[in-house]
Amino acid sequence: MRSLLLFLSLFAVLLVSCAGQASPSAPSGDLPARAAEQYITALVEKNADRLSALSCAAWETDALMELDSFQAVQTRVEGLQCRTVSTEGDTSVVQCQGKIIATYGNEDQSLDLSLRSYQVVKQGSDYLVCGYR
Amino acid sequence: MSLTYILIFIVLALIPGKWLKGSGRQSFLLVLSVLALYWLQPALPIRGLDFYLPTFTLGLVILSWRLVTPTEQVPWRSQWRTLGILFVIPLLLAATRYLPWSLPLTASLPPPPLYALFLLLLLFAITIGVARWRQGLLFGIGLLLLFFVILKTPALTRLLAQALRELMAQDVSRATAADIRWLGFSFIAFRLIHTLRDRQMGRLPQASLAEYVTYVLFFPALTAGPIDRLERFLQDLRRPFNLQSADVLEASTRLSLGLLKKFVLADTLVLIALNDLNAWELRSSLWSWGVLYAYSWQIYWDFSGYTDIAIGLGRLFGIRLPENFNRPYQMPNLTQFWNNWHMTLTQWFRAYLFNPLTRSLRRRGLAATWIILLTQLSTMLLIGLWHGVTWNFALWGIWHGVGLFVHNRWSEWVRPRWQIAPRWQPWLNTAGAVLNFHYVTLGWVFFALSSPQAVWRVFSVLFGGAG
Repeated sequence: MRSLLLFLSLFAVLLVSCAGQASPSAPSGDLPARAAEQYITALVEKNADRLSALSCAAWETDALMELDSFQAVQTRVEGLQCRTVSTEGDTSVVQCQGKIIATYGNEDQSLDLSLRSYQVVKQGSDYLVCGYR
Repeated sequence: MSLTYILIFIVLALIPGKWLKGSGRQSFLLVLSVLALYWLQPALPIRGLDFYLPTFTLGLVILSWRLVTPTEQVPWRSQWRTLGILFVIPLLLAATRYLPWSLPLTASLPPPPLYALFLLLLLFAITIGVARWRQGLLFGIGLLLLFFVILKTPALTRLLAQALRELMAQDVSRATAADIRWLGFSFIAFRLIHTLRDRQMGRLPQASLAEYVTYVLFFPALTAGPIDRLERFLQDLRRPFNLQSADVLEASTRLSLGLLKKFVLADTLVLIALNDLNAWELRSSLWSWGVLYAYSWQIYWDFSGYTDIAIGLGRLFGIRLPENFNRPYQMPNLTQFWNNWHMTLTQWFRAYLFNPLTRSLRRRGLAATWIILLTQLSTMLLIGLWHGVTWNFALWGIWHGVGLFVHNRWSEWVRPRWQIAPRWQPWLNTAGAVLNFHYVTLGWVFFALSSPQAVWRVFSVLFGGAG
């Protein structure tokens, strides 16, 4: 019993410490918006593996091409917050606020995320980004 | 293991060392090792795989423990607490998918807890089924070897990646062997095979499920060894441990040395060390040797640095992991080099391949020279193929197998014919070390590059050819 308590407290400490790292995010029930945020974060972190897992099959190659376009620059995201604006069947349209800043040398270039609408598809238990307009 | 992980482990090490004793310390190590299994697993492009692979590892470890534990012990009833921990951790981790923030304990969003529960129950049912089977031990070893072959053969790994992508409704055309990177599988499998084989031979000490899981998954040695033995590990785990200043001093010395080797020396040398890209750009013989020397030291400092870090971390938790490197480049011949390079791996191969094969060939009445050639060549070939089933790793293994054979025959020939005065011995050792270092370093050309064509080109440039 003591070890179980120890384990649970260790786990709770980890959860609480991780909560401190929480970034501005979608409302907790808005899963498509959360998927879009994770997708944008993976893109900015240039994490190709995570980006693949967050894309639908038809969009995976395009997602990785976009990631490649960021390879030569330093990227960060500011003020990211997404919300679902419409849902039809398994497909949701997600709009995001914030911007991706791409830095090359001393020059910053910003990409306004509000100009895009992300198409997020529910596949099994997962929400996957399947393109944007 | 990145610097962040190492620093977190150092901080966590102070908890059991200072405040936990006896079973509390063991439970802490168990929980931390299981959590680390998920935490250290890198993200993978196949959805959910970075969660399922550590769960499979848990399944394999439980299965192996059941196979090495005598049935009459009625093991499950006495191990319910450990089993509970092993089930609850993946379920809690899976439940974190519903948290409003991303938790860095898993590489990506984990699957729903129901999926995790289904997988755990399935693995447990397989364990129960296999344990009833008389050939269970053989099945366990065969299963691990099968995984080895699949994971180390790029064409087979790619096929598996295609199948898994198909299953997860992902783009099959993008499947590569790199899609399946199973954290620590090699070292976990070595430990499991050691216990399964020793149980077959009737020489394995008894361990509880908690002790066994902690031994196999002990997180400092999860990614790069060393490969400890169960009986030795249990001595440290069962011994009361109270972190003393001597432990802290020794641990910090090893950790500092390891961090220096890995993150300063190796990571600097990697910028110029031989690789698939710069191999085709080499023009001058002198620079080629420089690039090759850089690789030779980079691989040594990288690997031995990780070992120092593992030994240092282990010491903080009261576990004295075995040494893996003992100045191998200073050894005067290839036999001594292999007795001092990745020592726990060579000891493993000696115990489970070289010695049984030698005994088997002797029984068949084969001549000693042939026995030595066959055993050394096959052992080194398998060590090469363990790194990957490719031509280059096979050639690297053969290079060392032939080198060991030649050294063995030369020693046998020269011993009765040539008596060396003691005062000449240090000079001879130095000359031997220089010669041996260059033989090993030339062998790294096979190891560093991925195609025989690139190897041929580098050898040509090294020895003054046009390339």
